[in-house]
Amino acid sequence: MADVKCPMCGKPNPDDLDTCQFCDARLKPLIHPSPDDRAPLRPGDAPTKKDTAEFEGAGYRERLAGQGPIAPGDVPTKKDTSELERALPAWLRQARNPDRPLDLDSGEAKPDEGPAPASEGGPASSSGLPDWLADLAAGKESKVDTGELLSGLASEDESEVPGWLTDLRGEDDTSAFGAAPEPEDSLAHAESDDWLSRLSGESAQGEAPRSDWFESPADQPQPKDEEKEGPIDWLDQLKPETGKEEGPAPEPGLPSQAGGPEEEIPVEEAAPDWLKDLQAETPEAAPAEEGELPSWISGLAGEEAPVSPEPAEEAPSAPAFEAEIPAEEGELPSWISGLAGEEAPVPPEPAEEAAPDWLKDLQAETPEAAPAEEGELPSWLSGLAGEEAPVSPEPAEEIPPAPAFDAETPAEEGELPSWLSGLVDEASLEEAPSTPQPEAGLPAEEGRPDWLSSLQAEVGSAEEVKPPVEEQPSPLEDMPDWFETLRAESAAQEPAPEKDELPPWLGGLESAVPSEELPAVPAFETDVPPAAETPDWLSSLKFEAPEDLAPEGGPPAQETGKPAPKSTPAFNTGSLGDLSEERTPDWLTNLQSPETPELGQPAEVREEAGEELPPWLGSLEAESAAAEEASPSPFTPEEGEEVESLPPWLSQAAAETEESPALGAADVFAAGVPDWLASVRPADEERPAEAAVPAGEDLRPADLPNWVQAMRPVEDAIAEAASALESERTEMEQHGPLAGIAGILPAGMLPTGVSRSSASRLQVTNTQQVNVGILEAVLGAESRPREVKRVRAVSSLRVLRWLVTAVLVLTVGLSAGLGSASTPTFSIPPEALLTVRNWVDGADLSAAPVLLVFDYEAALSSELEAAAAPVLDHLAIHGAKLATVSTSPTGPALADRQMRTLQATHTYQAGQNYVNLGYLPGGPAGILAFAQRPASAGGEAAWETPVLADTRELREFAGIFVITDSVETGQQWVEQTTGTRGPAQLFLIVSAQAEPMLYPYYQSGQVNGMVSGLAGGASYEANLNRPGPARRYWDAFSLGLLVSAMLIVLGTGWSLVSAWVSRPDKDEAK
Amino acid sequence: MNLTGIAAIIIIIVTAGLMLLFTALHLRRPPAWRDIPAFTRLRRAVGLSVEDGTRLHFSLGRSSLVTPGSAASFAALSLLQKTAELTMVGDRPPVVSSGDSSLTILTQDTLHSAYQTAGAGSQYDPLSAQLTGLTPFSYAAGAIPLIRDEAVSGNVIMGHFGPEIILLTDAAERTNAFNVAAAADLPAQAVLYASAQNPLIGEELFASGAYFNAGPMHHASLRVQDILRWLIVAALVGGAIARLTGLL
Amino acid sequence: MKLRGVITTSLAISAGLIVLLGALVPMDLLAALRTELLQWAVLVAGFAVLVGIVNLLVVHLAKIRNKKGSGYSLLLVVSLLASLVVAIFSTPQGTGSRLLFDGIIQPVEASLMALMSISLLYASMRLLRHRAGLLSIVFIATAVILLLGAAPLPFGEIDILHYVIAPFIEQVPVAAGARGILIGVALGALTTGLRILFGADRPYGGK
Repeated sequence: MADVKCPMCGKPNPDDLDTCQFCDARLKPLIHPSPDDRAPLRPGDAPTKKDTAEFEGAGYRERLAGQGPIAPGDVPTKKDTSELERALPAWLRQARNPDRPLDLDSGEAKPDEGPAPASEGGPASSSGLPDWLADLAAGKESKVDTGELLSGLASEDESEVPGWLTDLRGEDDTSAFGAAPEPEDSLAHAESDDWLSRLSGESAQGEAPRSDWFESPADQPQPKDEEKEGPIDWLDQLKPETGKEEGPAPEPGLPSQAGGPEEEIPVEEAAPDWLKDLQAETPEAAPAEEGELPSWISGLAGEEAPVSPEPAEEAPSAPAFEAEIPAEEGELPSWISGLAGEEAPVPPEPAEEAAPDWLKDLQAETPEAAPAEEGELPSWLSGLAGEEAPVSPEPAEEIPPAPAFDAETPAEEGELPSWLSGLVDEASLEEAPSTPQPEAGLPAEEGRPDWLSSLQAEVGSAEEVKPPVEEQPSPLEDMPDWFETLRAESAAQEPAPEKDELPPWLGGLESAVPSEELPAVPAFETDVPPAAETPDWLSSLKFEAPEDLAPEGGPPAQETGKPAPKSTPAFNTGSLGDLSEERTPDWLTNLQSPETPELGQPAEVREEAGEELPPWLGSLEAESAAAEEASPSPFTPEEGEEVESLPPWLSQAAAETEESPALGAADVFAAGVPDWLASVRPADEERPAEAAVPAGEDLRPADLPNWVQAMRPVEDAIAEAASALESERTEMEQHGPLAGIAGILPAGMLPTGVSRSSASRLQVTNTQQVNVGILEAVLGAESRPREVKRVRAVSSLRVLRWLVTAVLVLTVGLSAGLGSASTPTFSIPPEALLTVRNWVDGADLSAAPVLLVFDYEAALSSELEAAAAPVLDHLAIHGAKLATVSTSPTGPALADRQMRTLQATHTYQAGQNYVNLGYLPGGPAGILAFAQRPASAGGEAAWETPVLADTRELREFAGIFVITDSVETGQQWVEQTTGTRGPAQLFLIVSAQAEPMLYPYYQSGQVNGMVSGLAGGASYEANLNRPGPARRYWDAFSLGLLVSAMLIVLGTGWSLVSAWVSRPDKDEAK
Repeated sequence: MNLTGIAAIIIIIVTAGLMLLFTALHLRRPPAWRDIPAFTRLRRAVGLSVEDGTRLHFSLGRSSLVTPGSAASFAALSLLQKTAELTMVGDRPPVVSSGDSSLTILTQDTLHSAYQTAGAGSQYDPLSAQLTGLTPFSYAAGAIPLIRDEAVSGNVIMGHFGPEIILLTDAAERTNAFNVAAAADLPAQAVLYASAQNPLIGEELFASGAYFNAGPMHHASLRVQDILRWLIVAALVGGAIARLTGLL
Repeated sequence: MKLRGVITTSLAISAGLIVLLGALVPMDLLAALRTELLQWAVLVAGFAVLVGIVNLLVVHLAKIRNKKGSGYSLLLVVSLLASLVVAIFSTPQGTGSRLLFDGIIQPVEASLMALMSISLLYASMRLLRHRAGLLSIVFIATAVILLLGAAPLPFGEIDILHYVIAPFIEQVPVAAGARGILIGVALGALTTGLRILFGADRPYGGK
């Protein structure tokens, strides 16, 4: 392994380290070539400008992703994400490989093992899960069996699982755990499901004359778990019932078992805002039409009709029922599953292939109404509605397992509000109560509220064992927030808030249902404190249920040979009846209507609901026709203005109700239906409600990527599904780098600083205030940037530079231009110059050539040409044959230039009187090589000329004149030719700048003569008495030297004065 | 072999032995050198260039590798390598200009070596070493745009120069960029004294490797230089005294 | 060190030692080897000029591509190619080459020299701004004396200046200081060369 030396400490480090192991200095640069700018910036390169306008647009994300936003109803594109397999969290990998058995130790059932025994799930696996999820887990095991893509959601890797998926897994855990006999679990179990138990109990006892839904059956057995506290007491009422019937038997499907008491989630904490709003609005149970009821409630109503108290009585063995919950329908809330089961077993219908289980179940129940209703409503709503009407006489066991959700369904449901998702799941399970399809419920569990999930889980498990199970206790923790708020309000008996404070749709409810019209709700048993918080509508449900649920739920349970749900007698409505009877909403009032006994006729309900109300409300309408008359529903056409203010999903539902109660809703949804709804709708439309396909038949593991894809942000869906408040919060940024991102805190909302006005006034004295002012001043002075003095020197420097230039140009130019020759030359020429002149005069230049070395730069040609010109002239006078060579690339050209000057006064011809040997590369090496073999330079032709015909060695030259401006070059010629030049004389014609360094060579005898600079040339000319270029430049040169010296002196003096003037004062220095 | 050759061989051998000796000694006790402000400021300029994402410009002169002036170029190359390793962590690697072809090639090798030492051999750009001119003034004229590059925050002008070096230092002064200059040529040193912010006079140029911790051999060579200098001083003084006393 | 580094370092050290010993030790073999190596160096240096020209061309072509300083770079490339064409068809000693040199190269370089002189003068004027001190004053005084002593003044010679002070300063303190500096530079060059011979400095990519 190669070592990388630390740039800071110099110590070697392994090359795989980024930082030095000794000094932590960075070893590798941070340079990262970017794809768009691979070439690093080079000197002289201006910074690259990039157009960032593309980031401005809101659609940048889409463009970046290479696709537009997901439109409603769009099917997620299936992509090969195998390469991303490794990057997926464990739970997702498990999901992609459904065949892989799950870890039973984690409370998850293997897919092939079928419904896992409840005991498989350890209690530990349920820890940390909300109760409602624990309830959901009841049906999880059977889901895994089907190979559903999401069956592996409950993986062992908790850390990688998103919260909602973790919750899902908790269902599994719970399901498994729920099987374990834990009497203590019954606490939470009962808490969560008590209101359902009350439902069943009420339905069992069936007080017809009262408004079934709200009248708390005082005669019904109340739960004895008074020790159960919290707002979920109404669910506890279920528990006692089941406990009574089942005894100490464990309740596997109960979420409380999974989550444990410690995991009870405060209901209000989990409550969405809109539910909290409901709390203020719905304390009073106002009589309302069925159409006003939420779908899930209408579904309940539809279910209630067939329910009879008998099954519960006949099959009071709740423990058995609960134990089987995880095996089958773990997703249905007990009260729903019980209702559905009581209605009728869902006939096997192939049309349910593409439908979620819960839709299939609903379709099975309402074969005729399904097409119309589903077209109008979201699938989950239609499914709920479907539950009401169609009652199939076939037992649940006979029904083939309904197909699991389409690949699209999970994604869509994932976008649902939690409480809606929960409804979806429940509804789906209700549709196919007899078909254990755990997978179907998984996707829908994403946004499911606790209470619904738990209910669903219970029902799912119940369906597996005994499909028609009517009710299952659900944990109190599962109760949605709005549920809690409702209860709280009911308990407090607070007056209804004003309309403006209510959600639109609730406001409509309130306005439509005067509190005076609310029928008196029979008081619930007050022995259970939590029951006081139970919402009214639940109380009414309890009363309705006894009569309706019993007949329907009984037979299936009997057929399966499993104990019927204990819902009928076990209800302990507690103090629900005490709650806000006056303020019961319309739709709750409808539930209390005496028509509830008719719920036992699902066919009728379906027909009625299909006409005027949304399908899911149709059943309620059928049940409470009188209530409709009493209080108009806010969703009715008369309340159109209120409908506008409804949340989108409710508005659409209302519109459907108005326009086409049976079939026309498709148009409504086509406009702005969230894609999760749109995608569900086609599936519902494609298949007839009767169609029942075995669960998991069309589910493919490859669908998971779609599911993943569907998790992409869907703007339209978000826009449609979000409430008005949410839409305000999700305003998209239009500009800037955050363009396209919703929910950005507007700039105007950002605090710009501490407002003095808002600050509380401190009790400070004047002195303190003064001190504070001083401190602020000091701090402000510290933080204030010190004023930088203007650099006036910049302009003055430039002026000075131009001034110097002008002075020099004027003086030298004028002097040279005028051609003055007034300045005398040195009267005493240098000795070195005289040596040269004497040698030229005395040498026999006709016998041997003279070598001229032109090693100077063109920039210095003026000086050196003037210095060499008299020497060359002198040589030419003596007829010397000249050979030129250069170690400088520009030397040959300079030699030609000089020879042309010589030719002006002498008849020198190239090749005859002089020859240019050209350029010698290699510096001193070239000089040495030339000194050793001169013939190697210039080519053979040059050495054949008359100039060099008789010369082959350096020593054969008469003399060597080195014309150079460089000390180094002069030294090289002196040193490199020392051993080869022999008797040849060496003379230097150098620039004045090189003279001081080369003069010692003359003094030491290594150089025979020397001419230095313009002064030497002028002296040589003067000595020859042949004026030349040196003389022409001499006056200008002399004047230039004088001016330069003067400028230096002036500049120095000015600097000294400036420094003296600008010196710091003594005081400042001190 | 004449006396000059013998003396040269002796000097070379002694120098080599001292260098090896002090290299070994350096491992035990690193020497401490006097402060040279130019090197201190250069070190700071290197850090600043890394911090502010600018680059350093190196101008290595115009000496060929086969000339005596190449010694200054080699010393500058050592500093270049060390500085390049330091500035490699910055956003902009250094850029080098030179006035000789062979020196340009060697500069490319040096930069490449520095990149490899820093573990970023792939980041090396051969064009970061540029031949800006084959003559002294054309080289200086070609290097001026590099000095005036807005991304250059410092200039290290070091190597074999002539008086033309003032064009580079003057350009650096105009851009208010940090510059440190050193040259082996005497006229250039005289010019630098008048024009450069931080001139390095004489053998200070050859001390750059030791001051930038280029290796123990650089420290040893600097010690040997001091020792030889004192020996030469002693010889000169002794010779003068002997000449005055008539001994020689 | 990789194999390439080993090879290059070995070659560099061997060549250096051969040339050094060939200059100092009077052995024919060493002298022949030295001469041969120097011939190679000459060839390499000559070819290096072409490499340098290619580098120059590539650098400015890159600038042209980046459109940064492309005007001057384009002018340089065009001039380079034009000079090449002229030198090929007109020979280096031909009229075309002569015109290029006399009309462009020599005037431009002379102008740069003139600019240098102005810059020198300007720098000398502002020397005390950069570093005020006694040495600076001595420096300026020496420069002024040598300037004035370099040639007779327009109004005539000043004997004491031109024949006493200036030569003394030039040949004694200046030469002494210069030689001292040169000795120091020589020592530095010696140690630098030895470092290369030892392989401590491997600027040839030996690392």
